[in-house]
Amino acid sequence: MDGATMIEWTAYALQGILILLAIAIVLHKNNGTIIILIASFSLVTASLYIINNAPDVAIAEIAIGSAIIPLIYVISISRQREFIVLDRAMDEFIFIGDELAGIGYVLLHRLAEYYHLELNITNDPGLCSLDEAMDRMLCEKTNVDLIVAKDEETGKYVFKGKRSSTLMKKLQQMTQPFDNIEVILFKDSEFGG
Amino acid sequence: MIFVPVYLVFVPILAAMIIFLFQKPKMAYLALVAQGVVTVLAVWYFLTFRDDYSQTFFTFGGWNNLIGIGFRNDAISISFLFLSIFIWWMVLIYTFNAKKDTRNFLFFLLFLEGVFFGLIQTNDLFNMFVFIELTTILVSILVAYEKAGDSFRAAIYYLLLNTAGVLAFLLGIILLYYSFGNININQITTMIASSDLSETTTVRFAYVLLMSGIAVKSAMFPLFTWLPRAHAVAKSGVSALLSGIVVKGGLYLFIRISLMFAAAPYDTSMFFFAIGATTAIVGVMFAMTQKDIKQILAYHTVSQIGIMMMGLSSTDSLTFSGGLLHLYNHALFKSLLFLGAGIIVNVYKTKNIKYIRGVFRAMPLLSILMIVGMLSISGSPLFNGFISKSVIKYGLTDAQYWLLQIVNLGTATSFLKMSQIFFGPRTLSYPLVRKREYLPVALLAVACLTMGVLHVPIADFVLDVDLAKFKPISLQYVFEYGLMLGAGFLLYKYVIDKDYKPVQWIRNFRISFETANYMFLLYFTVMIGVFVVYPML
Amino acid sequence: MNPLLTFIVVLIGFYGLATSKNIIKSVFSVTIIESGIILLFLNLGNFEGGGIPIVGESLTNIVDPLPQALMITTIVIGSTVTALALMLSIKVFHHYGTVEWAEVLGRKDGE
Repeated sequence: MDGATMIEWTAYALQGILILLAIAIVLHKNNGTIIILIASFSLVTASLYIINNAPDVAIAEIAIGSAIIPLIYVISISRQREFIVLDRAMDEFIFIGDELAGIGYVLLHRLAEYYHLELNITNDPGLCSLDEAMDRMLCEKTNVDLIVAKDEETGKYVFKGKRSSTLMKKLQQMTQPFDNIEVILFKDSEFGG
Repeated sequence: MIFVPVYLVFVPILAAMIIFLFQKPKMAYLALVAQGVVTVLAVWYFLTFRDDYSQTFFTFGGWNNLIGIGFRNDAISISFLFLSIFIWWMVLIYTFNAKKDTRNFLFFLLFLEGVFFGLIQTNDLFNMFVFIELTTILVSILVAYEKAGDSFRAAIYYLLLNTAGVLAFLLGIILLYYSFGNININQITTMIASSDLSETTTVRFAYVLLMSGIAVKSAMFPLFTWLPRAHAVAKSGVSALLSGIVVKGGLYLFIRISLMFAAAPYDTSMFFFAIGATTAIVGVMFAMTQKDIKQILAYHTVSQIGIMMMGLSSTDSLTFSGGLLHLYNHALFKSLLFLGAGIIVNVYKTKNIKYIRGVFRAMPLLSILMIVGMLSISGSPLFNGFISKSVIKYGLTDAQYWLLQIVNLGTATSFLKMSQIFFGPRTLSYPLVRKREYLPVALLAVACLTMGVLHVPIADFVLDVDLAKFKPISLQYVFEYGLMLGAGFLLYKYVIDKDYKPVQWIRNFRISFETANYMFLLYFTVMIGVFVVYPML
Repeated sequence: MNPLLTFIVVLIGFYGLATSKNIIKSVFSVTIIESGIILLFLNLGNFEGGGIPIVGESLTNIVDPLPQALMITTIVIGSTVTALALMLSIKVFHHYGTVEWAEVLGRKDGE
């Protein structure tokens, strides 16, 4: 087989691989795996660009499609995996001793499992010492999703979060049978002009 | 002097970058300076070249006319240029202040202005694609600038749907290059006229792809779902800009591509008239049932675009000018309504028209200006909506005329519903309105009135068309308008106000992202059926 | 190299866009469509036995360089749109807690 037909057959094979990769990307469920498939898709298309006598486009495609684009995807997907909870109630609702056990923890863990998110509970003293009135600002401006506090007068535990979040809706459903837990939802700030 | 188009594109972009880089409050005034420079340049350019537009053609880098990227202007693009300069002035005055947040906002606003001027003047198809993509990106950022949840989801919906459409446009450009070997608009127009390449399947396919992309951008019938979402949740200045000018950019592309394919034997006028009529009726049906003031105005934009398509799709040059005139008039009165609605929403802190009452007593001047806008959009004699609707009506057959009347009736009903906000007791003690915000609204109202009364000299000057047979006011017209208002009032009282189940269902009807994509593929398939398959049979 | 197979990739991309359940999947599909279109254009400019259009190679009988220049621009535009879409998806996640289309678009205005 001479050089020309070999290149022909390589081109056909690569196109076949491209179609398989495209079908795999469309049908796959886990977003993290698809990033690797995208990087390999970009590599295969760059090889096809070279076969089509366009090496400068191939260089651009490799730099952007295999390096920068998967980086952006990884950054954005990693920000969408966590559910951040701020624990202000300093008693045994979530932390018993030094370990994560306690009714609050079980509830939150089940909620995070349902949405395939990682639970990240923090009781950072800097954030805890902020005023109660700042809770709403905290939920909106930072990436804290839920604030757990204890109402001293009634003895109930209070979950505060945004009303627009689907997780808060589910949390409301889940805590309905519990009498000592109350859920407060913040509406989004009023619009400007 | 010949390079003024390039300056028109780059002066706003440069000013935007300077405002962004130098973070001083006084720098924000550079925006007004830049806008002034652009206005002076445009007027000077127009006065130099208005006798002979073929002199405005130039190519970048001094390349040959046949192969270089170039800019050119003709009567339509010059009038678009002046319209967009005027609307951008209005929005700049409305949203101007020297705080840090607004400075970043001014950056995006001026950048969009430069890109839009480039879109209007370009003569090269790929250059057009680049400018369209830039417009999509910038508009998406501007819609998301409100930083509320609704605006983020509207922005991502807008971005993904429009990118899919613009990629179809790119595919059309590729097929055109494959057939003609050239992507210069002037060249392709000559080649289509002089050869019969436009009969082949490839060129028909290219036409279908180009038109599908344009249909997404101009919010035509099945693909308008991004428009109510995006225009209702943006800041008021941004909504006025989008509804007033940027969506007309899509229609400008429609005009250019239609003129490019003018010599081709495609029978397009019936199809696009049908699309236009459907868009108009569906838009007004949705508009009648909404309760959110900005949502009502956004759906009215959709229906007025339908009326414009009814005009622009015809082969008769008078009706075409009517469509173009309606485009300009709509930019004026829709911006007026959106800016006025923005002031009202700011003062009353709610968007629901059930809770806004007593605007006339609280802010009488603003109410009068808003009433001017409402009269213009519903086609009252003496205002500009009436003139353009009459010109379009003149070229329609009887059956088509009744379609237009249905749309007019729906518009009248919906604005009668919205005029509830004027009556009632004064619910506010002291409205805090910035005086500066009144100025653009007042100027736009004056422009509406002028276009309604002085339409004959203006149309002659701008579009070179004679409209002397359309009188601005007469007893018969006032009587017809009164009749339509009466019918609209009855429709409102007995159907809309009762809030029956179908009305509620229409109000809450929302199309998911999946369905929007299926609509796009459906539209594409129908166009293939009409333009590619049907002529082959 | 067959343009029809590349067109199938573009169609798979449009299918993926239509059936995507969350925002990230839609952005992946747009990337696929973009790469497919670029490959199509480069294929149309290519012909057998042509030379690479770089100065220093034999300047006669080169492949058409116009598609290559245009497609580099298109790649950059595609990456800009992807970056902007992903940033907006992070904002949507922060507000709604999920990036599924059905959940995000299903809420009424103003929650």
